[in-house]
Amino acid sequence: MSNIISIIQGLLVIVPALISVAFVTISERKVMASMQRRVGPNAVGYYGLLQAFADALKLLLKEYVAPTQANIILFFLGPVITLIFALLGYLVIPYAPGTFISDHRLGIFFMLAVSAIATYGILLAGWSANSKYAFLGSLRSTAQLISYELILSSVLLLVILLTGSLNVITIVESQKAVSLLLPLLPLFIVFFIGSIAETNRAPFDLAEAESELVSGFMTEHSASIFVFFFLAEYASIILICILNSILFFGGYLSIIVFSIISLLDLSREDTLFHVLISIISSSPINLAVKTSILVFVFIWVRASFPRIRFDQLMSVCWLVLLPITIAYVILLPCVVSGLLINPVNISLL
Amino acid sequence: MTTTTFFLFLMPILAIILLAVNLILSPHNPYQEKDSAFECGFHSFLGQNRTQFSISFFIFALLFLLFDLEIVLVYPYVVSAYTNGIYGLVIMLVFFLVLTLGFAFEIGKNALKIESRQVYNFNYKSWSGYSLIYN
Amino acid sequence: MNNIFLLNDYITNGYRLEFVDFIYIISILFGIFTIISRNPIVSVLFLIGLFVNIAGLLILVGYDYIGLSYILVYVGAVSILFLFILMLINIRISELVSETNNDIPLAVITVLLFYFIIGQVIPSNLTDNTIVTSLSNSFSEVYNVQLDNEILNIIDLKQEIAYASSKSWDNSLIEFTHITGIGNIMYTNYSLWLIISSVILLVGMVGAIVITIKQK
Repeated sequence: MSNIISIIQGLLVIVPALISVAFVTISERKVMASMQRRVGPNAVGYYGLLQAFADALKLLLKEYVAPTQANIILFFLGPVITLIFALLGYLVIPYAPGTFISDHRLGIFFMLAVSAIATYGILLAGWSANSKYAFLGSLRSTAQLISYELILSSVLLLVILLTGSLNVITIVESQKAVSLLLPLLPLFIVFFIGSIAETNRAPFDLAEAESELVSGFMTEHSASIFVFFFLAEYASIILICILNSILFFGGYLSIIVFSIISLLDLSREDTLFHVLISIISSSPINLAVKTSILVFVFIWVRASFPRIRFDQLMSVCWLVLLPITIAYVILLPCVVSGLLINPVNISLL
Repeated sequence: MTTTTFFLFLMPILAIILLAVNLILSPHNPYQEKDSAFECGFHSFLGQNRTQFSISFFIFALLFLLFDLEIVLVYPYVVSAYTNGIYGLVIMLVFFLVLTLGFAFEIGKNALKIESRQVYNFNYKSWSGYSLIYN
Repeated sequence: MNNIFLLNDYITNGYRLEFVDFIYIISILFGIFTIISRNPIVSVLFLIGLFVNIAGLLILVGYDYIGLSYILVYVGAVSILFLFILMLINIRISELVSETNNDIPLAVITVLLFYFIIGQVIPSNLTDNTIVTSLSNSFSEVYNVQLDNEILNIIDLKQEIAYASSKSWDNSLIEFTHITGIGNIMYTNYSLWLIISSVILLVGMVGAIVITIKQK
């Protein structure tokens, strides 16, 4: 019986994640279309809402092309690795108080390790296609991914300094009084820029820009493999927006401090007011709203800024963002030790 | 088995199922023109696919390795900052400052700049030495 | 007399000794394939598989920080460096054809000598330590722990489970995670090693740049 429950729990996380990936695709096309004063896809369902499923169905039934002189095993293995490790990050995030798959003590570290392996998919896929455009695209994309991953892990270090534990649920619950956006606003900006670059989104999307390298490392991949890259990219966009909202906005906690209202003790425990407060203050709807706003900002940034060149991209990471982050890593532990606000987490077995 | 184990086994199975659906249900008529590498219609030469590279990729990967090691070694400090007190803070700062000195040396040598031949239109000579990114 | 009932998972929390055997066999196979492969990139891929295996073993035993940092550093940084170099240099696929079988007796003698010397020093039963298994709470099934003041009686213990940290609850009320334990000693007692490692990283950084810099 417990096996069936764990199977249902696992499916309850994965199937909505994949469906939301599909709807983020549709929303990206419609939102970018609105920003460019056109309509976007509106033929398939009501207002074009089933477009992604039609696309997925078409791609799954398309012919796959395995190029000559390509390593077939690595050719198919690269996208599979990218998809698996892009979806594995959903294992440790809390959707509501008490609602998670795994309460890992090193949840943040797990997500970092998973995104470190996900860069292998791109490296292997581009090299094994045996075409110089795919190879150069994958080299540049891998160099971009590893550089910005450094920024992400440094900012995570500073968030954990103020929180005291690597457990994701501890990070969320320690923001009950005030979200970590207030002390760490510059670091949120750095983390946001890093997360746009980490997911290969515009303005950092040289890997998929068609004017540059004929769609980069995905040039030779045709039908189902392309679906893998597509799914992996949008799943990692949603995952990194969830991570942003967990670290800096409070996850499933509400932004407005409802605890003050409940401290006033204006009503009895079972009235509608109390029920409403307890629903709003820690619920998965908060996480969903924050993540949706951040995904919308991702799409907004894509429609607004021009693409930057590869050498400018690397210069921004190593010569602008990394010195800022190093300066914060030297400053923040001194401030925390000087003001004696070291967080201590005691876990009773 | 728990949900974690099931989740960890479900991911590869999902990927393999999607791959298998495509490999089974799709037509497959390969011929030589379709299978050759993409070169806008031209034929690619045999030895041209894996050629020389610029050294900057190696420098980026090496510097990423060193800074990643440094961050991984600072992670135990941030979870035990209270127990270590001021002494631990000073040790962490010494560790970090040694590596920051190396980073400053490397910024000074312009080792991280990829050369580009773009010429800027504004009077960039007056900005020389002020900006890290341009020229 | 206190009764404690515990229910927990037995695959990812404590480990069963049979599952560790899988990891051992797969690691040995990956190690052999790393040496045997003709294509150097396939060889590095098997090395990456070996790193992931050993990281899984470390996490299963209980050293989760070291295991995850294996994945983060070895698989995520060192192997990417190896792959960059291999993919960008024109390496010919090596030929592993050997003409005679004359080296087999020498290989057998060398391996036996190695095992004979090393096997006298390495403890042979690293995980079957009865003190650890009897003192640690094993999370295999529902069982009933009866604790007197001095004697710890674990009854109904169906399997032997080993865990790297002692988890008996009356020894310490506060449990440090693995990463906190490392942080406690690495920054105070063994701080000199940390500073030495920073000097090593500095030398690596400066050395690579001095070699590859273009003199204008």
